[in-house]
Amino acid sequence: MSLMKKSKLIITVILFVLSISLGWYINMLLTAKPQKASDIEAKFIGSAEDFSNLADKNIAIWFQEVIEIEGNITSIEKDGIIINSNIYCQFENPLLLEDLKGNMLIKIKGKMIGFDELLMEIKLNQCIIIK
Amino acid sequence: MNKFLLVLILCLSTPLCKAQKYYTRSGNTAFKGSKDAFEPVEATNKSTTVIFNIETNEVVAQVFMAAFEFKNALMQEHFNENYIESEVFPKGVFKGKLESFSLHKHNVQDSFQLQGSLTIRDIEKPIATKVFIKNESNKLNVKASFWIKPEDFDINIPVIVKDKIASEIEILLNYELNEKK
Repeated sequence: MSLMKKSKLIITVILFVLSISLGWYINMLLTAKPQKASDIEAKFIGSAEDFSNLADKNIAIWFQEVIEIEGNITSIEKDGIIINSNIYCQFENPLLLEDLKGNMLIKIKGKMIGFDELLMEIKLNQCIIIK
Repeated sequence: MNKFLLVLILCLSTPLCKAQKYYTRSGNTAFKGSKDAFEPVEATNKSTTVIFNIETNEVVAQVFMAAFEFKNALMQEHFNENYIESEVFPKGVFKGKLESFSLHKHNVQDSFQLQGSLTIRDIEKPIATKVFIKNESNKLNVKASFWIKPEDFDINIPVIVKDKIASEIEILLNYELNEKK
């Protein structure tokens, strides 16, 4: 095989592999499922009280951010818990609530979805228990 | 005046004087906006707060835009960043009134007319629809649906995806309301 033919074959193979990889990458981008809070690095890690104080100053910067907070369970609801009386954490898996009790110190991770003006509480969803 | 204040304080501290309300923190609000034969444009939100005052029949619902979950990450990103702009307008709010509802008269399933207004992206539009309510074991199961147009809320759909998204979006509500104590 001449050098010219060999080069053409190599270029064809490279282009073929590249187009397959590009197609696979585009398909992956278009069909990827949204990440859950459990898979995202927390932007805030600390006490529930400190987070409440930060959110009081500027709540908008925390919208859609994942946070990890520690505080006391003040109420247990059907789908979640209330921490320090002002942060509602909604669990995707309500079975996680079974072992929880009031006044228990808990560390959770969840996505901040907003401030609930009807119930006057910060709202997190996709929560998981860290400790 | 003093007697009036005393009565008012006693009244406010007595459960009998408190307005009876039903509520949920985890109401299910979904929407469907696909055109046939395309990838479904739909999402579900399981974090809707709803308060229903059964004495005045007033309903308030708060939908957190960031809680809408799509099957596709790219679609979810476009919804939050380009269409709804959920960082600027994080909530949709419905305020309305159910006509002729009475908890004690309706022990089984019944339907009622709901009139109110929906505010999305700071734009308020009137909504009227039929609501089905089932009163079961001290819980109110509420179901309803209505249609909205994206352009009514200043949501601009780019030309490139316009033929994939329906001109009217169906909003589906499914709430289990518990008595607020």
